[in-house]
This record gives sequence, C-alpha cells and structure tokens, in this order.
Amino acid sequence: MEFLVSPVGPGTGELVAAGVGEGVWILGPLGHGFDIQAAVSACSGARGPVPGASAGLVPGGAPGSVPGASAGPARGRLVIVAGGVGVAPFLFVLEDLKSRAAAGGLPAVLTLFGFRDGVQAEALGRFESAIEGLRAVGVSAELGVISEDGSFGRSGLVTTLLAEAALRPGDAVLACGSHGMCAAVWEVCRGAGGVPAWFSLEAAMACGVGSCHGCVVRLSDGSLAEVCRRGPVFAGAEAFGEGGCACAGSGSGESEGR
Amino acid sequence: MTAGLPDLSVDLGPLRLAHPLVNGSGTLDLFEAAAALQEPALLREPPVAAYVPKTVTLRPRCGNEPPRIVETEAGLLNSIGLPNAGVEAFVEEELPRLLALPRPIILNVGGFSPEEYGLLAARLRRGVEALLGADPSAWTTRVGLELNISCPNVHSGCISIGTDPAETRSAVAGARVEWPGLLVVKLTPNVTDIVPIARAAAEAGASALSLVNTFKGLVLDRVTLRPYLGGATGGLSGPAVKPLALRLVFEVAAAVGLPIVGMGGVCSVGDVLDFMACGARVVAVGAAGFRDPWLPARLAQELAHALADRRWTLADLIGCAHRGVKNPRNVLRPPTP
Repeated sequence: MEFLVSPVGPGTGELVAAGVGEGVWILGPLGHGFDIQAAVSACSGARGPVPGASAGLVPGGAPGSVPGASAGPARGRLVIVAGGVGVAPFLFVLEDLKSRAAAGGLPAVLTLFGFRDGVQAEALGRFESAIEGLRAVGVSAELGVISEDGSFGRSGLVTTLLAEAALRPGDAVLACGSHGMCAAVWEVCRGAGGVPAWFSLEAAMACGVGSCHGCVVRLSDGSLAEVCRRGPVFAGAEAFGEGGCACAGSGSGESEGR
Repeated sequence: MTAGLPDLSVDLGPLRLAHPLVNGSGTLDLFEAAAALQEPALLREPPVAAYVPKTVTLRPRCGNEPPRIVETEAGLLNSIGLPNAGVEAFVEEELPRLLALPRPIILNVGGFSPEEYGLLAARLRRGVEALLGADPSAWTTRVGLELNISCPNVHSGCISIGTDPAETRSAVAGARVEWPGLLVVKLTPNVTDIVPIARAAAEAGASALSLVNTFKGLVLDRVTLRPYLGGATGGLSGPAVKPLALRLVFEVAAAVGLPIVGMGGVCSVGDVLDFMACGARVVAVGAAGFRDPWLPARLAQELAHALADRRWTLADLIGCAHRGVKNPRNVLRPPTP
C-alpha cells in the first residue's frame, strides 16, 4: 500500500520516515468519496449549444451504451481541478477511470493542477504515468500544471488554467483544494451555464467518525454538515449554492501552515 | 477476568462497573463509530465499563460556528458548542437504543440556569421510567446522571455555573430532587479553588464527582492573528492538561469524601495508575479515544497486568498517593512572627 504524503509536521514526518515492513494503524475508509460514475454520466451529452471546438471529444462507445448520448452531440469533458495536496485523491480517480475504459463511453479527461512551488510538484511523475495509462486505453487525457512561484510550469493559479479550458454545458468537474480555490472553481462552473461539480472538502477532524462534531462546514442551505461523515465530497450546489463559501473558516481568511 | 489477574470491578453509586475505564462525555459516540467503522462489535461489546453519551440540553442546539477544533502542542482545543437535538428528541430517539446497550449508561445534561438541571433530570427520569418501569430500584443500577456544570448561566452574565458554589449547590439540589440513584457532578477546572465547588456539590446531594472538564484556552490563526476557532476561545484537552487535572483530582480527593471519576489527558496505563493513585476510582478517556475508540478496554487490560505485577488489588491503588502527604494543597505557611 502506498500513500502520497506531504510532510508538513511531526505526524506526516513520521509517515514519510516509516520504512518497508513497519506497521501503521489505519482507521478507515471513512466518508463518501467521489462518485465517479455520476461524474462520468454527467458528461454524457451536451446540455446546450456546444462550440465547434474538437478538443476533448472522444468517440463514444457502442450506440446506446451511454444514457442520453447519441452519435450527434459532442461529449462533455471530465475536468479535474486540484491545488497543492488536493491533487492526491485524483491518482485514484485516474486509475479508476482507466478501469472503466474497457466498458467504453468515457469522456475526455482534462486534469489541471496548481502548486505553490516546485516542492509540492514532486509527485507529478505518478500522475503523468496515470494519464499515460488512460491514453493507452483510448481515453483522451490532458494534463495542465501551473505554479504560483513560476518554478514549475507557468506562473499563476489553477483557476487561470480553468479559465483557459473554457468550461461549457456538458462538462463535469471534480475538485479538491483550499476553500478559496473550491469557491472560485464553483463560481466558474456556475458562470459556464451550470456545470455540475463535486468538491472534496477539508476540515480538521478529531475523530473522523461523527462522534465529536468538530469537522462541520456550513452548507448553502445554512445547515452544518460533518465533512467526515456527510463528505468529504459534496456537490457544488449543496456546498456553495448560489454563492458564498462552504467555509470551515470563521471568515478570518486562509489558514496556511496550521 | 483472566485467572491470576486482580478483580477490576468498581461500584459507582448503584452502578456496578466491570472495570474502572469509561469514556468522557462528548468524545465517543458508539453508534456513529460503529456505523462509520462498520464495527458492530462496538455495540455488542462496548469498550467501556459504562457509556457516557454527549451532553443533552433542554432545547436543540446547532453548536458553534466552525472551525470547532484545532490541534495544539500535546492537546486539542475545541469549541464544539454542545450540539444536540434537545431532550425531547433525545428521549424519543436516543434513550431507547442507549438503554439497550449491554453497559450501564451515565446520561449527561447541561443547563443554562440552575433550574434547567432539575427540569432535565425530571424529563429524563420520566423517559427512563417509561422504558424501564416506575420503580427506581428496577433501573438505578443501569442508569446514572451526570451534570455538566461548565455551562454558562445565561441569567447571571453567562458566568459558568460551576465556577460559583451557590449556583452549583442550586443546580445540584434541583437535580437531586428529581433523580434517584447515581448523580455525578462534573466539575470545571476554570476556577480559583475547586474545593468549595466540590463541597457545594457534595452538600447538595451529589453521589460522585467527575473532574475535570476542559481548560479554557485560545489559539490564533497564524495568518490573520485573530482567534482561529469560530467560538473564539475553546476548551483544552489532551496530554497537555494531565498534570493540571491530576492536581485537581488529588486536591478534591483529599478534601471531599465522594467517589471520583478522574479525567484529563488520559492515554496510557500510567495515566490510569496516576489518577487512581490520586483518588479516582473510575477514570475517563476523552480525547485519546478519538484516535482509538477501543483504548478504554485496552487500558483496563493493561491496568490488570500492572496491578498483578505489583501484586496489588484495586483497593491498594486507589488513593495511595495520599499516604503520608500532610499538606496536599501545598499551602504556603506564613512566617512565624
């Protein structure tokens, strides 16, 4: 079993220092992950006029194999947007997509990663392999990388790459990153005519099972939901709604390095 | 118990516990943990000698604005805010499945005025009677009540009830009238002198004392330099508070004759030995249970072996730290004239 770990403190430091053969006690799996089938299905068939761009189109599977799709309308894209350590879950998403490729009907996959600096980008090789793996089974897969300090890829935020990708109806988004990034991504999805999106949110957790009620975020309907139990993946409409932020923050802004 | 290991059973009022380890209120939810971890064994064989559910209040509470928890050096600062569905929903939905667990239950209530404790005790008593019968002797061996008096008195400038002996006395007396059987009063450490509070609770009819609840603390956001938690200040728990909690258990045990449930940073068998040596006959695991819900049961096993190694019984252990200690509060004597 392998883990992608960013050593930011004593706990992650110990995990990274652990050698082969050492025991690790794991509590899990916990919560609800990305519903990849739902995301793939959300890409099937455009919901409105689609610009003539051919980027991201994938020949469909057997006729009728994808509900709602036909030979005519262009397929939407599955767009992955992640920042910093938020890239980690998408290694599994990409591998899961590859395992679904045999059944046919997968959309094109566009993966957009943003990092603070080159240090965070160290694991890129694994993702490049996973994306190669998707191409090898006939899925159109692209990777865009950007870094805040310009040390890796272009300089800027991942939302810059997302803007260039020009989201359109028929696309679907999976995202994981800071609250600021997620909120900004959701705004882009709304602005693009209501592109469905799912976000893996983060909150400090004491118990991870729903005992302590410490990891709540405020949803768009005003209710509080435990990220460990209801989430960590929430649909964009549920988490952010018509605007505002599914904040685990108290409004005091970004909290890095905690 | 395995042959050769000492008997760990302890009485807490009419409750008979198979061993001294319980959970701190609000830190272990057996039903949530069993569901999330897919471990029905947690309900079949709960890893605690008695189960203490989280605080119930008269009215439903959403809890505090997030963020509600933050890690500190060897500790955890929380501002959860006692979210719960209120006592009516609790009696309807929670009480039946709690009473079906194969362990004694110590219900926990919090009030925002001394009067609310009496109302809560009365409501819970009616709920228990509806399920187990009107004769207290039928159920007082199975159900106890713990009063969380760290709550603010909203009628008295939101000063915590447990910081004032008179308010404490009033809250406990009100509950005592309504509740037969085990009545535990959970003390707050955020006081200048805990002994008068402990005495007030004892005089008002408490069967036992549990100490301590969390210590008030503050963490600032690293970037904004403003309070990190949604509730601004929070309660500190975890290994960082153990020496503080241990001292309070030591003092109360020396001053008041009631049985004590000791807690505060317990995560190893050494901690269990320490709290019991200071006079606790029951020890609660709180924050450490987040990492390992089975910890209380494991500590019980380790306690049995630790006692066997010394050839001690539980009775040898409880309060042994007090032997020969003449000045437990380390009171500075004024210079003789």
